[in-house]
Amino acid sequence: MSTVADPFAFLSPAAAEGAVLRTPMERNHRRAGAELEDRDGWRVADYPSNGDAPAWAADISHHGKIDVRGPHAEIDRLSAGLELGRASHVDGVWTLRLSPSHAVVLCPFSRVEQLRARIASESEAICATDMTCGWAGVMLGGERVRDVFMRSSSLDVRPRRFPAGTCMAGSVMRCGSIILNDDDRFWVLCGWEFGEYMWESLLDAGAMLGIIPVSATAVLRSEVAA
Amino acid sequence: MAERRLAQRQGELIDRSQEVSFQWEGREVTGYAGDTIASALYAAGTRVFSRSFKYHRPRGLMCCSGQCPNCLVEVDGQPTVRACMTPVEQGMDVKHLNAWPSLQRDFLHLVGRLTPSFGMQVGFYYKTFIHPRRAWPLYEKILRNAAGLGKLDPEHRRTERFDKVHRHVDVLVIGGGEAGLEAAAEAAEQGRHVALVEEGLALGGQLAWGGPRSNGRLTALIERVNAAGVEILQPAYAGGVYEGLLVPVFQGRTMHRFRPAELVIATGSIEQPLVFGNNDLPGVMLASGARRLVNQFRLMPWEQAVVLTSSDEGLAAALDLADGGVNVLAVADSRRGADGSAIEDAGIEYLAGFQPWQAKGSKAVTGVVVTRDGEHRTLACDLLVMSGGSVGQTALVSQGGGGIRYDRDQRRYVPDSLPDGMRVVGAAAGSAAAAGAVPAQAPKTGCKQVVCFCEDVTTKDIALSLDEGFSSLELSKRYTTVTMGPCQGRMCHRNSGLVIADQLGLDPDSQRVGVTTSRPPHNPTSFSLLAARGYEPVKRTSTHHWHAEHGGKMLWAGDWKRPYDYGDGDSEVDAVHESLGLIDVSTLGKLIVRGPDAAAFLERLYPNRFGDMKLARVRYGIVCGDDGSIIDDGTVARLSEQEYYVTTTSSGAGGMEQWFTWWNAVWKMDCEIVNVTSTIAAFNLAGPNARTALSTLTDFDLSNEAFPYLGAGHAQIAGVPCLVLRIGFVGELGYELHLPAAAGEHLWEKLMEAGEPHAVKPFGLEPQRVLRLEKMHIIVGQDTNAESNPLEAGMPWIVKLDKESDWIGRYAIEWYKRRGNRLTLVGWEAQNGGVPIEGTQVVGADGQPAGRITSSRFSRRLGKAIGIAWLPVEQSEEGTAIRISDPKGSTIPATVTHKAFYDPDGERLRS
Repeated sequence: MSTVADPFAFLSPAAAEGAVLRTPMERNHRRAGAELEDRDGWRVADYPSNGDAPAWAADISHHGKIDVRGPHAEIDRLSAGLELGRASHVDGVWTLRLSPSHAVVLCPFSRVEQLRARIASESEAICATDMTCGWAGVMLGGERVRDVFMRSSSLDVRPRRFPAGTCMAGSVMRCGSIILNDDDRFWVLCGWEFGEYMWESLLDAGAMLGIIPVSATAVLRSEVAA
Repeated sequence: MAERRLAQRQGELIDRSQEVSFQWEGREVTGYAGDTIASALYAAGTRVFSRSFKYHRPRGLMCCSGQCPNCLVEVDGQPTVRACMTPVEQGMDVKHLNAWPSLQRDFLHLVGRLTPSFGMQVGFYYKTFIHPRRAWPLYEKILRNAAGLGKLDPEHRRTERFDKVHRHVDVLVIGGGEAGLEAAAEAAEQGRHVALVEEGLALGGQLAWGGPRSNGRLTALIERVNAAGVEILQPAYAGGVYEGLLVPVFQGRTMHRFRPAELVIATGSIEQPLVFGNNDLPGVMLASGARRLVNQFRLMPWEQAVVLTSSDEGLAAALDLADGGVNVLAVADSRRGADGSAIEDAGIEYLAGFQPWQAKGSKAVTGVVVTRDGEHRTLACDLLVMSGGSVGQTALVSQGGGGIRYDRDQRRYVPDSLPDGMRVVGAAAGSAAAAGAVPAQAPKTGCKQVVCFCEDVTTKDIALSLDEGFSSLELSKRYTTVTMGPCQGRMCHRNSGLVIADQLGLDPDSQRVGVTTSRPPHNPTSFSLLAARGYEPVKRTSTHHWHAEHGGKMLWAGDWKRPYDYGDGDSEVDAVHESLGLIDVSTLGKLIVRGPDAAAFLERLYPNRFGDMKLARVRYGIVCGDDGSIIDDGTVARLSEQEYYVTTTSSGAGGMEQWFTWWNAVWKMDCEIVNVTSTIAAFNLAGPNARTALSTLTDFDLSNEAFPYLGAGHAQIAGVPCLVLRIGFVGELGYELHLPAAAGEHLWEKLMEAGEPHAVKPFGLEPQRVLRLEKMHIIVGQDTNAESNPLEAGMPWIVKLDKESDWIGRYAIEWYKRRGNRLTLVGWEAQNGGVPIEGTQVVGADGQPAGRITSSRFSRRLGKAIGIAWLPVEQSEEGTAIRISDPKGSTIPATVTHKAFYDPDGERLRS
């Protein structure tokens, strides 16, 4: 057996060398005429910009995601005491507190391995798993983002109940999902295997509202900055 | 059109400046914007709108509020549209339902004329069409053509989009009458998010149709509601109330699924018809219906009206109609002692104690006969206004889990107990004026006395059902179908109860008669709306499109789409045996078990032993339930002292995650469970050339010495980090590669390229099933069931009863061991070329069922049918001859075997 520092390194696409990394929605992007550009090994869809659309969706599956589990106190410490259902954004990294013993970290893909290692090194009781390709991601935005979401889920996303900087786990399009309100742009993370279904369903739900697909690079804060 | 309208007045709904033309029965009709289809047609002289369900009697407008079935029409191909609730639109095509060849001349009305000699009374289907039995298909065809409300075009392809939206509000108010508007305004003024649903075209309920006196109050209320920011959905209706106060609200082509924190039922009350002879003739109208036509649509196409009533509502209606310009000849009030002075003051004859006997006329009302103590009076009229009082609209209360009780003071059912979060206001709560006297039963006549307008159920039908033993409202309902039509009992529930009370000698003014159960949908609702945008989550592996693009026949396998085969399953089997095959097994469940207690946790969860596993090794394991039955299987790889990688069956992935997590919580062990099924793609490269092909993509030492059977190792393959498990479900040298899903398609393509010199073939589910059967590998759930334990399933070697720790299923399996096996899972091979059907039975010597075939396939390589079966222990010895039943009536001879059919010693796997 080869000796590896991390027995679960095979979970992480960051360890790939020269391999083509694809999101589950790649065929949809191709059919929609999007260009696919290389970004840290990923083929990322590039759509013509259209800032005036009442609703839009971006495939953000390539964004880094880390699942963090451990004792309440450790998660408290790591998340700087984030309350349940709250999310913080610091230095391009989102931390979502989903339960007392469960948090999720979202970061640019280029930082995921380093960040995961750092979290794991904080405590032996912490289990930090690279879930970058465990969860496909769609970001929804635009003035009518809530109208699109309401056609996709029974979760209550009224501003009063789900303001910016909050997160929750629930069913979207009947798939278990994690939802983050990033300044009224909704991240929807679902199982990788549901990615294509989720993309098609969300676009269909927003069809009558004028939803359009947009580039992740145009809407992800970290990538816009880059 | 214009000449049939009254002078313009505040409160009317029509916009006389805007004409709207549409088609009715192929001719053009013009109405005004704001008209309903019904009001525009009425203005144009239409009196017959439909034919009744069973007897095809002509029917005209009755309620004008969407409660009765009399104006159901087809609009632009959509049947059962309520004409009185649907606004006219330019160019719409409106047709009648349920008449042949035309609405005016409907031959099917002869059915009614034949009654009762033809036996068209209740239950006639069951009584008439059983002789001769062979003629039933013909009867059925005729009946299906004659019955029903409209026809669906089987060629119609839906082009419109229907939608569903999930809505959350603090308060949802159902009903936009006075009480509903009040409740909505009050809640919104407190800062709550309020939505109000109104079915009609105008807000205000009786304030809107009750005449100009209420206009000021209505205007103020609507201004208040708007100022408070109440969201108004109109026209829209609540289809029902479900558990947790889930309320589907249908508006246009959208279903809103409301989940309010508080539900306010303000559905008001419904005026009831009276039961008398010919009470369904066109021209017999509810008082509220006539008032709607006069006050909201400014129609007065009648010459002379007679009002029949048992309540003050009829008196109010008479005055309102007279005020609107209708010539009201007389009011027949079945009550004695009611105050009719206002009627007389208005110059209308007041007939106290007179009740209706029968309406005169054939296609329209020409008069009415009223009676009192044997005295008959015949009054000529072309409009008969009836009011049998009103009942509270409590159906939604019942559906939501509320209770109702009969209130003798109000003579109606009122809400009693309410579920949390529900409130009832206004007339629905019973707070409106009393319902008036319970109408006495009309004297018998030779005419039909219709109780249920939807289903054409008469007083005679109900009496007959009682005579035949259906001796309660619920039973009679099931036999006669009273209350089961589109109105869902709104027009007939009270009256059917009164008829039953009369027949059974019960006090009609009591709760003894009872109520029937109210069920959604509350209104006729299109299936398009219910289906709307469907959710059908589908799981796709990372190489899904590669399979589809390369001939994979994709089929549902649980929630997943998987390739059945790629067009030639036999050659795919051959490729694996002879050279190289590649299958996508990404659907396997995959769990990480990590932590100081990981080994101890697995020891408790499995009958196997895992604490003694060496690093970088894989072991097959089964998971048992508390009762010792096999619930899942898979492999466990030990990747470090405290870290295990567990695979489960594809269908068991979710269940096993829950099972693991549950027991971890129960035992409070120091380990974490992470489900990485989504994260990891998995491929099995199998065949004699697997090693050679894979070696071209990696530096990892794949030799048998360095990486033997049941080894686990980390390797970079074509640049992709992989966990390699040397296992073989399909019986050949094989490597199961586990890798990040995002790199799945990349590695798959590289593996296919590397296998090209070896004529690699992708293989699908079906070839895999043949291959695993040749090795006699079981599939949990197919070869096992809820009663299968590992001892009887031929896996005693997996059960470690000498483990120190307790483990799930141990107690039961120890008991099974003491008891001894009764059945055994064995292999069989058939001799005569027949291939038994899976699930078929093994026939014992006595001809009785003795076992069951769980798997069966023809193996081209072996040249015979092979399979797995459960057999009684006494018939399971190696070489025992058995017979397997065949659907053709014969049996297939077979022989029992305990060894794998192919490579029984596993030499190829270990090579």
